[in-house]
Amino acid sequence: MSAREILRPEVLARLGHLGHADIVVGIPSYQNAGTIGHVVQAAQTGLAKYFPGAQSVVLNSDGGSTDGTPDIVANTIGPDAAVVLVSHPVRPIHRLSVPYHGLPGKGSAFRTIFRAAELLGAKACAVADADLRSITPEWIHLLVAPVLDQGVDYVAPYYHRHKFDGTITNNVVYPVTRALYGQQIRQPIGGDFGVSRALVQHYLGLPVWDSDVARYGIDIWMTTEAICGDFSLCQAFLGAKLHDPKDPAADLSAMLVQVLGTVFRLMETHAERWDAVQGSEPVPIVGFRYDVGLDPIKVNPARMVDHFRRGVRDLESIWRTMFDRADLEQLKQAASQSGSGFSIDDRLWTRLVYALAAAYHRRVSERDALVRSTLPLYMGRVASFVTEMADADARQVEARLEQLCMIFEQEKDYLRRRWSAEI
Amino acid sequence: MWQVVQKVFAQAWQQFTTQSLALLPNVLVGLLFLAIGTALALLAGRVAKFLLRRSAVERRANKIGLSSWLERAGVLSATAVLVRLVQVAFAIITAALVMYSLDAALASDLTRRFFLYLPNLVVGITIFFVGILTARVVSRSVLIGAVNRGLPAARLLATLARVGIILLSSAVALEHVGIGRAIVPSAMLILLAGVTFALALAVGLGSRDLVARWIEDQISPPTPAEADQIQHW
Repeated sequence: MSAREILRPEVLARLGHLGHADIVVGIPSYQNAGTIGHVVQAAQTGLAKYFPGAQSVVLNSDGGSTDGTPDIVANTIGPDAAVVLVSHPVRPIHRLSVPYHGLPGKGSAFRTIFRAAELLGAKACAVADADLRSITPEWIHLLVAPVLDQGVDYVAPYYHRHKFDGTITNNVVYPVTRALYGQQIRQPIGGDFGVSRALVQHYLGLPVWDSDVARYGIDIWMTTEAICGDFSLCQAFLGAKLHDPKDPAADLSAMLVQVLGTVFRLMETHAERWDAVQGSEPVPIVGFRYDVGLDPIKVNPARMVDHFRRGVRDLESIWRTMFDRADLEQLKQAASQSGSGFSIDDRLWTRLVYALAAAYHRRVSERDALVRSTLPLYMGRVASFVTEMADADARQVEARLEQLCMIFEQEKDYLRRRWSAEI
Repeated sequence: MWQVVQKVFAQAWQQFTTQSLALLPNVLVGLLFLAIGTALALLAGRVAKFLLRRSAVERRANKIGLSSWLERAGVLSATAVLVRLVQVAFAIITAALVMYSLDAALASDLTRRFFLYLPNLVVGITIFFVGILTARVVSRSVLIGAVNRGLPAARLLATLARVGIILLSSAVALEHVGIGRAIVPSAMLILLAGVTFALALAVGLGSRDLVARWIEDQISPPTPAEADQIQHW
């Protein structure tokens, strides 16, 4: 094993025994005993059904599960199936933090999967989360076929989700990524994707695998690097995304720090790139699009508004270091509005997000504290969105998000000014 | 009588002028040292800033994690800290030179005493400033954490945290520099007892419901069905 080799000798031996693969499907896991059997079955069936002539390998990279996840994988696979079970290194810090996908060391898992795919000479590599309940064999086809048949390098997922799900994606990550880099990838932190050999090699060659980006924000990193590396992109319509419910007690502010921190750090890495981008262009979608019935979900906007009001009352001293005075005044006005009249409009929200990004970049205070302090703003924005869209259907919500994205694109000069402003 | 007064006055004036004239060169040299020292401190600050920027100190500090640590303490630039240290060093040297130019014996005595006292002073000042920085970080974290957890008195909690840490660090710092060795611990004890009593009263009288709810939540946390079902990411 060379000094730089990240795979253990027994894994290298197993890969050497397999020799070559056309397709590698990676499944990073951690404590997914309840769902991983289904995910592995879907992957195997999808490979057998849609790529019968291809040599395929399913690779499970586990982060030290204690609930029997690796055993379930071992019991699910057939005796002659090409499956590799590995464990990726997880440092103690991974366990202590709360990665937003609930998976410690996801970056290490991806690195392991990509390295294995590289060694096997795979033409395409797909990755699926191990907590998925709605994955079907068709997902594998949709994520892999564009790479093999159309020469696409990065296949991002396109899900049908409840109109109030994915609020960080809808209100921050998607509009920001789209406005910054000019590509309309609807689920930039989706977690399931397909990549080409060239992109796998590109990812492996980037000096990021030991950083916080790999630890906490690997999904948005992959999407951003695929865009900024000028790789060809598409989106695969996968239907509904249903997965194991996340821990309701999970610290939302920690998740914001992880997601937004990564987005902002990537903005620093690719500042010249996004500075030159104006507008955005659609990214093709493959797969038959259909409507999916989704269970209603319970939302309590009043509690979110309370959180927002507490923030306006108590956190002004921190917000003053980031936001314009006029925007702070608007926030105070919003806080004084009654329940049904409560609203944080798109333009104000956009300016707040951009001002936060610039403050993070300019280190006007400790970075993580800056992001954590904006949780009440985020809750206010979600409450505003939920109240406004209470009676809207999925198409109307999507149209509404399109409006928001346009505002983010229009206000980009505001970001440019604040980003380059002197302290 | 008047002649005696005149004589005393003349003697006093003569002594004053003689001693002043004797001291004048020292004062002038002292002022000269002060002016040169101030100019040199400012110049050294600028030179240090230029050199530190050229040697990419910020980037290096960032690389070894020092920036992150300073940032948490509310210090946003390693360069600014180093520049200020250089200027303080020049200011101390200038002060010593000024004192030597005025009275070598006194300055020598003061310098000896100063250097004997210096370790305590440095440790005391360091403890105090570390306390201030820690108080700032902890107070901000308490404030944000309390707001995000929905605690009603977030600012009060943050203020209590800040004041508590500053008081504690001040007491320890004073203890180190040898001021009020007996009074400071007693004052701290009285203060802590007072704060504890006030908190006990506040909890007992004003926050019974809050505490009851908190204990209730700990015993039987709200079921997921009562919580929002939004998946934020």
